[in-house]
Amino acid sequence: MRLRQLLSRSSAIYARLSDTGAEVYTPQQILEEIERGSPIGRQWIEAEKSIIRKLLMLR
Amino acid sequence: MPRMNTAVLILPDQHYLGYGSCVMRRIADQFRGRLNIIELNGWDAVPDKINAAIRQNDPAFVFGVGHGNVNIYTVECRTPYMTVCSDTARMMAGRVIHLNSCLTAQQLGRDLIAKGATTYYGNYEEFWLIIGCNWRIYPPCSNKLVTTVFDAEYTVEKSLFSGRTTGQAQQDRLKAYDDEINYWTSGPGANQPCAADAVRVLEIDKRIAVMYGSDSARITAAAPSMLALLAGLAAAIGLGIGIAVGSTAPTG
Repeated sequence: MRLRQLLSRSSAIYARLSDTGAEVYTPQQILEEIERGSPIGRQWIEAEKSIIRKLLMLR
Repeated sequence: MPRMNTAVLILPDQHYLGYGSCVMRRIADQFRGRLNIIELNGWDAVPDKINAAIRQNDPAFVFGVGHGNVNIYTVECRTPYMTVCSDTARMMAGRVIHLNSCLTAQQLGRDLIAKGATTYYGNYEEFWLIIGCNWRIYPPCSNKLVTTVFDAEYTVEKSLFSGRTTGQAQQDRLKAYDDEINYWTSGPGANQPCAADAVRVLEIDKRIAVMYGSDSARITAAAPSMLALLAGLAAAIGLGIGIAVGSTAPTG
């Protein structure tokens, strides 16, 4: 949910160093990857979980 | 035996690779006086020229940024350069390798170690960068947002070029990711647009920053310590006196 909110408000432009598929992604495209449950979507969700865990440890 | 203090840097520019290459060129400029650094920039970052540079210079260290997959690393204009079980992979034997390239740690990195590479640094999943904010694409090296992931990832080179071991360079790399994350969460970057995006991308890239192989190797020849220099000087003086005494002592 937190990640969805961030991405829906974001104006960043991302790129990745992959040999296949798209090189450039908008936040909306990352959101679509998350909705699809693709490896890219899972990667972003796992990173978000890690960020939340760190935030909880700081409290 | 590869040459210590020698590094070949593969620095393509097309397909957004200039964002990483630009940062690495700046690092190379800082160390050029201390190491023999061979840069293959743009259209020099193609297979024939890379192989020629490696054969000619026999470097202890090879760095490459490029688009990749589990079993392939590509160079300028996504030209395939190195694949699992290739002759090129075998050319990396005895060297420390850093491939800043998506997914290569899954198969290619392991294959490089199996083929005799000393140490491999790479990325286990997709490696992300930010190239713009406010819906605008920024040029390479134009601000902290576009360099932040490379400032962390290329700490490997800053450490190795400074004489640190491969294991220490990996520790420095992971700490540099934390430092960059702190820059965007509680440091000067905290209130900038796209700061939260930078944190997400840095967190992803840190999680996939792996190292295989030896953690005790160095790519620089150890500089002699002051104590060793003094001991050598004392021995030389002693030897000199001995020769002088020997040459003037009466014989018979």
